[in-house]
Parts: sequence; structure tokens; C-alpha cells
Amino acid sequence: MDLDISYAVNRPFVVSDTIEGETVILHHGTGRYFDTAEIGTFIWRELDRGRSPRSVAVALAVSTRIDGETATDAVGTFLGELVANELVSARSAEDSFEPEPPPTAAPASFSVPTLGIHTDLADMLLLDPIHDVGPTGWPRRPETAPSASAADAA
Amino acid sequence: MRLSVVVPCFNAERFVGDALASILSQSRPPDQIVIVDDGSTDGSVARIAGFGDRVRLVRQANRGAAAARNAGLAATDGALVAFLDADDLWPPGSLARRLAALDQADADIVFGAVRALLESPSGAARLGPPMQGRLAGSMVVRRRVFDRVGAFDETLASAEVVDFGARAQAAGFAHLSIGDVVLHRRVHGDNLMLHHGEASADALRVLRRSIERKRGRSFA
Repeated sequence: MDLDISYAVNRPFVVSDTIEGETVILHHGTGRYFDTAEIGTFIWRELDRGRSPRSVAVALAVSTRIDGETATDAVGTFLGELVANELVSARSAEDSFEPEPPPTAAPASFSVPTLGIHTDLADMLLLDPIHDVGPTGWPRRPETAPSASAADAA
Repeated sequence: MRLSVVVPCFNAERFVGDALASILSQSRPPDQIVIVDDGSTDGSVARIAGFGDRVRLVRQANRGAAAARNAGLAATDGALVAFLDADDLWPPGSLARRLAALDQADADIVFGAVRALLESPSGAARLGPPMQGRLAGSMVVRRRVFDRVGAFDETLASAEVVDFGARAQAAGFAHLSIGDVVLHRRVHGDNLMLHHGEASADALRVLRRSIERKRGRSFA
């Protein structure tokens, strides 16, 4: 796993949402869904922002005061799971040469990041019914319904 | 056992006649058919009226698919319930095969296989390969499942059937899947809305609830 290049979320097949530090990820192509939190959410967010895994590990080591090797192992292992589940892919060499974005606040305490993998609804998600019969048909949110959960990447 | 069919309909003028005909021509016809028009602005209601008293029409202002399904649930009384979206079709024997499996296995929910009905711009149609999957139109469910886990979540514009399935699963209701093709699901040109932001937001919301349930937190 190359930790010095950047990785991109496999959109549009992969979508995610973070609320209060807990991230849910859905792969529309496999019907699998995933969850992670805390350090995992931080890694997911920073990779999505275009930072290299190496840079994320350094930020993690500094903020949580763990040694660099532990941080690098944690980020590398977590990244391996993301890649194995087709959630992220290495960016093209051209994109990887873009300057990295500035770091965002990293967690203050360390725990090994975990990726929960769920396959129990795959058959439903892969064939999720689309109700529309044209541009004005379903799905259309009822006007009185509350809005969908807003992403909060904090 | 009495079987009710609920047909939610919104602007399905082109398709609703074929959908209803596919129900009425089943070898084991349902005991009750309720079609809920969710505020269509096309000629759907006129097409439905052409079926006379063979189907009962319930009309409501546009509130979405989940609300239409729920209105149909409320308007029916069968101990068994099936759904068919107004743009889809049941092949011959669809209901009979599902009911036989339900009886044989003493299951609470049975699903059959699905084939996509693909239409070209010229109007020619072809069927995709059979796929196993849990959809409203491929399901027969005992009403007691709804009594226990609740109806469809009307705050969801999509993924409401996934949400229902997840809740039923979490409540311990076993589902049975049979290999027989029981639904032809029409795929439209703009049918890839699943990947659009709002539909994905609904799906993620449903999945977050499912994860919370697994952890033993709320969302019964």
C-alpha cells in the first residue's frame, strides 16, 4: 500500500455521511454498508480531502502523542480495508501531485480504527426500487417531511 | 387466507393499465385490490376508473410513495398483503407461487426473483436476467409484520422498503426467497436516481438506523 500518494473516494458509487463523529458509508455497487468512528472517521475525512495516508498518520501521531510507527500502521491497515472494499482508490499520478490541503483538527486520543462491514441488506440495496415514472414522478420528498440528516463532518 | 394488493400510483398513466391487468389475470387473483393515487397530474385516475369496481381507488394529495403504501395498507384488511408499483408488472403465476411458498414454509415474508423490464427509446421492451432481491413488488407479507414493526416511514422519499425490511429483519421475522420470477420491474431512462444526493441521503439514514439497532440503541 503506497502511503505517499493520495486516494479518492469511489464516487458516485460510494456515498457517506458523518454525524457526531460516526460515519456511515454505502457502496451502491456492492450493496455493502460500513460504519466507523473517531480515528476512522478522521482518516476517512482526511483521505477524502486529498491528504496522503503518510500525512494523515503524522497528524495523528502529533495530536494523540503516539509513536509514528503505530500511527502509520493504523492508517495503513485502515486504508487497506477501505481499498479492499472498493471504497477508495489511488488517485492518478497527476492528481497526486496537487498540493495537499491544510490539516484539520485531529483527535486528541488514539484508538485503533475499525471498519464495520454489513452485508445483511445487500440484496435490497442493490435493487432499491425507484418509483419515478418520469421527471415529475417518485421519488419526490413530501413537502411536509423533515429534511434528510445533514452531514456534519465535525 | 384473504389477500389484499396495494398499488401506489403517481403519474403512471402509461403503465397503470398494464399493471392492474397483470394483477387481475393472476391464476390466484387477490381478494381485494386498492390503488392509491398519490395526487397524479396526468391521466392515471381516468385509466384506473376504466377498471370499474374490480379495483378500489383511494385518492390523496401528493405525499410520496411511503404514504401511498400506508394509505393502501389502511384501506385493506387482508391478513396477507402484496404491493405492485403502478409501473411494474406481475408475470402469470406470480402470486400463486409466492403464496404456495409462504404456506409451505410457514414464513412471514416471501420474496421472489425480479427481472428488469428495459424499454428502449423506440418503445421496444426486453427483460433482463433474473435477480434475487427484496422489493415491495416481489413480496407477500403477513399483516402482523406491519402490526409489529410499523408501516413505511413517510419521512423517506426513497429507501422506505429497505427500511421496512431492515426493521422486520431486526424484529426477527424470517423471510423466504424463492427463485421464481414474480416481478417485472420497469427501468426508466432516469432510473438511476438511486445515486442522486437525496436518495443517497435517505439510504444512509436508513442504514444508520440499522446499525443503531444492531448496537441495541433505539429505532425499534
